Amino acid sequence: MWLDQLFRDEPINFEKRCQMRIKFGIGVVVLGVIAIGTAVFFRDRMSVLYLQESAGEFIYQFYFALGIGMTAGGLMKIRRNLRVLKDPALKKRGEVAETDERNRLLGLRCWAYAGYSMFLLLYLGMLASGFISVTVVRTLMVVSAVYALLLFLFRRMLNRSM
Amino acid sequence: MKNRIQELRKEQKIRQEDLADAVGVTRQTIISLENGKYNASLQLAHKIARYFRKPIEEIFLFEE
Repeated sequence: MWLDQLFRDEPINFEKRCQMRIKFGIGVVVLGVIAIGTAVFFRDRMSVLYLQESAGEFIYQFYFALGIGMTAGGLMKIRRNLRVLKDPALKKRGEVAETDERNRLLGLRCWAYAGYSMFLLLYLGMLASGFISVTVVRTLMVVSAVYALLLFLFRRMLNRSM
Repeated sequence: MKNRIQELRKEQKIRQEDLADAVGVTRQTIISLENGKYNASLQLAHKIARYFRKPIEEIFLFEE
């Protein structure tokens, strides 16, 4: 199961991981190009349902910028991982840095702290936004509920796999 | 948990980089272990003990 790969004590083979990242980078580039193509193709062809008329230009800019960002990010990821695979010194340094148990613990703790902070911010946001917009409160409530549900689900899944 | 890594390393004139390379961790991890900021996993403790050719309990001092 992919969760075992993600959280198990023994990290997966570094070379395999780089190859997976290259494939992931290719996927991101493809999605980025699709986003750019869609933004350009549909710029004047499609009305934006349920949004204000002026939102059309915003949507075009949003998808275009998103596409550019994804394409650039994906290309950088591919380039960096290809370099790592070709250069033995870089490969060894990268492997040690990624498999180092303290670094892995730091990474997991960063996610945990960011998660706690995000939950707290969502809660504060819910309290404050009630005075501004009911739609925002409802959106934040749904986000918090999904977040809590995900926490519960991952806890159960990990409890079974460890 | 206290440990004698720094003491043993200095005794045997081993650099932090060399120890880190031998047990497959970064130098920063060795520094944190020596300063007592980080506790090694059982696996890493084994590797370090094997590197110094000593039993784990002689390197890592468990305090109740």
